[in-house]
Amino acid sequence: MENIKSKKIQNIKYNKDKIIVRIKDLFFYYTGVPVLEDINISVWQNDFLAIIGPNGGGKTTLLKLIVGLLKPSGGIIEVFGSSIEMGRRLIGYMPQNSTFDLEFPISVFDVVIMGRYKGTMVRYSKKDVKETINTLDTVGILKLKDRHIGELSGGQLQRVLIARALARNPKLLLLDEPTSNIDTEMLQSFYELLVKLNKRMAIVFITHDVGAISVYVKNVACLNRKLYYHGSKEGSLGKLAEAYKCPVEILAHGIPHRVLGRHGK
Amino acid sequence: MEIFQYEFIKNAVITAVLINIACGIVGTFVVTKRIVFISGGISHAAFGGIGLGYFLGLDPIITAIPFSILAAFGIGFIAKKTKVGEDAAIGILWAIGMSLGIIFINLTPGYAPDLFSYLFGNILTIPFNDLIIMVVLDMIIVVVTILFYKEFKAISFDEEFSKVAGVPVDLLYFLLLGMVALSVVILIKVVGIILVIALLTIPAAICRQFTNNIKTMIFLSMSTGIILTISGLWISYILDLASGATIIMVLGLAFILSYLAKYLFLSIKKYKSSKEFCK
Ligand SMILES: Nc1ncnc2c1ncn2[C@@H]1O[C@H](COP(=O)(O)OP(=O)(O)OP(=O)(O)O)[C@@H](O)[C@H]1O
Ligand SMILES: [Mg+2]
Repeated sequence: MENIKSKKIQNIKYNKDKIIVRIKDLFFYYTGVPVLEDINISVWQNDFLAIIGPNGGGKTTLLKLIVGLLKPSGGIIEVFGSSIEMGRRLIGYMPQNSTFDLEFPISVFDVVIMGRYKGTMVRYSKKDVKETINTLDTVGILKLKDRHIGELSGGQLQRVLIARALARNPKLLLLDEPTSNIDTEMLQSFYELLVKLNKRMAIVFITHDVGAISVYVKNVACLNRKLYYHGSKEGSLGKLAEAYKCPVEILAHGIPHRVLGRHGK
Repeated sequence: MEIFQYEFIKNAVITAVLINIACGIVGTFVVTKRIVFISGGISHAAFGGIGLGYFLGLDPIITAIPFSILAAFGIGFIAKKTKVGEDAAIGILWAIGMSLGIIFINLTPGYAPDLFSYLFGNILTIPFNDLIIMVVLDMIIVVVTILFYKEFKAISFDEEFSKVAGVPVDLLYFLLLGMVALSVVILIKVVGIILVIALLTIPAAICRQFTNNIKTMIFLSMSTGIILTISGLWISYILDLASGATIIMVLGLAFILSYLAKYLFLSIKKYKSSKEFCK
C-alpha cells in the first residue's frame, strides 16, 4: 500500500521551469466576509517568492489553503499538478503560530524527525535519522537536539519549526513569517541559507521584512484580501505602496530596496 | 479462609497490573493530548449503556461498549466538526448518559443493581472471566499502540502539522478515542468510573513531570500506577477501608508529593548553578 503511494508521488510530473502551484479564481470565507477574493497566482519551480501585505491581509490563510488545512470556498488549487493531499507530500510547511503545547514531553530531535513522516507502518529509518541530524545542523541547532521543546527561546523554537519543514527535503518550502523571531545578526545568514536552499527547492515565504525582499527574493506578491501585485520585484515596491496600501513598512521607508540594499551588501 | 484471602489478594494484584498496562498507555496520550475531560465524559456516558444492559437483561458490558464508543465518536465529532464548544458537548453527553442509566435501571423490574459499585467498583471481587477480558483489552491496546505509536505521538503533539505531513489525523483521533472508550468501559466493571479516570490521569500526570519522552512516560506511568494501586490496596486492607477510594487517595497524595519533589529538585538545581555562577 505504502509503496504504491510513494511511487505515485515520484511520478508526479516535475520539470524545471514548471508551475508547481497553480491557484485559479480562489475565494475564501471564514464567515460572511471574504478573506481572500479572486486570487490567481502560480509558483514556479525554483521560485523564490515573498508574500507581503498588512496584518489580516490573508497571507496565513493563503498558505493554509495551499497545504490543505483549509478548504477553498471557491476556485482551484493544484499542487505539483495533482490534488493537495497528494502534492503536499512534497511541501515543507512552517506555520506562523505553532498550535502545540510547549509542555508536551518531546525533544527537539523528535519534533524535527516528524517532518520526515512517510506513512503509517513505515518506521523512521537510519536515513531519516541522518537527514534529521543534517537538517538540525543546517539551521544551526544541532547542539539543542536533545533539549525539551519547552526549554527553548523564541528564536530557537522558530528554527526548530524551520528544520521540521526542511527535514523532508521538500520541493516547495512554505514559511509563514520565518524571520519574526530571528535576531538581526542571524538574519543575513538565514537569508543566505534560503538562497542556497533555493537551488534545489522553490521557496514561498511571508514576511514583513521589506529589506530582505529587495536583496534576496526573485518575486513578490502583495496580498490584502485581493492579490494586488504578483511579479518581479524590480522597480515595483514604491509603486505598490502608493497604489495598494501594501505593507506599512514600505510606506514608512519610501523606496526601501535602495536603502536596504546598501545595508545588505 | 486464609487461602481464600490469598486468592483474593492475588487476583487483586493481577488486576492492578493488567489495569495499569492499559491505563499507562492510554493515559499517557489522554494527558499529553489534554483530553482528560473527554475521557470523563465517555466514562459517564457509558453509564447509560450499563443501565440499558440491565433493562434488556444483558451483560452490561455488552451494551456499554457500543454505547461508550458512540459517545466517544459523538464527542470527537462535535469537537472537530462543529462550533458547539467541545466542553459543552462533553457536559451534555455526561449528564444525559448518567440520567439514561438511572432511568433504564428504574424501568428494570425487580432487582436493583448496586450503583455504588459502578462508581467505585470492587477490585477485590474480580471474577476470573473479567481477568481474561482485561488481558484481551491489554493486548488490543498494546498492539494498536505499537502499530500507530508514531502517529499517536504526532497527533498528540501537533495535529495541524501532522495533517500537512500526511498523517490520517481524523482517523487516528477516533481510533485513540475508541481506545479510551474501550478501556474505560471494561475497567468500569472492575474498578468503577471514578477510579478509571484516576488511573488514566494521575500516574501519567505524575510521570510527565519527570520525562521528555513519550515512550518513557508510558513505561513510567505503568509502573507508577501498579505500585500506587497495590499500595492503596494494601492500605485499604490494613485499615479496612473501601479499596477504590483508598487507591484514589494514595494516587492523589502521590501526585502532590511528586509535585513537591519536582519543585525541590528544581530549586536545588537552581541553587547549585547559581553557586557555580558565583565562583
Ligand atoms: N480562524 C479564523 N476564523 C475567523 N476569521 C479568521 C480566522 N483566522 C483568521 N481570520 C481572519 O481572516 C483574516 C486574514 O487572516 P490571516 O491570518 O490570513 O492574516 P495575515 O495576512 O496572515 O496577517 P498577519 O500579518 O497578522 O499574520 C483576518 O481578518 C482575520 O481576522
Ligand atoms: Mg499571518
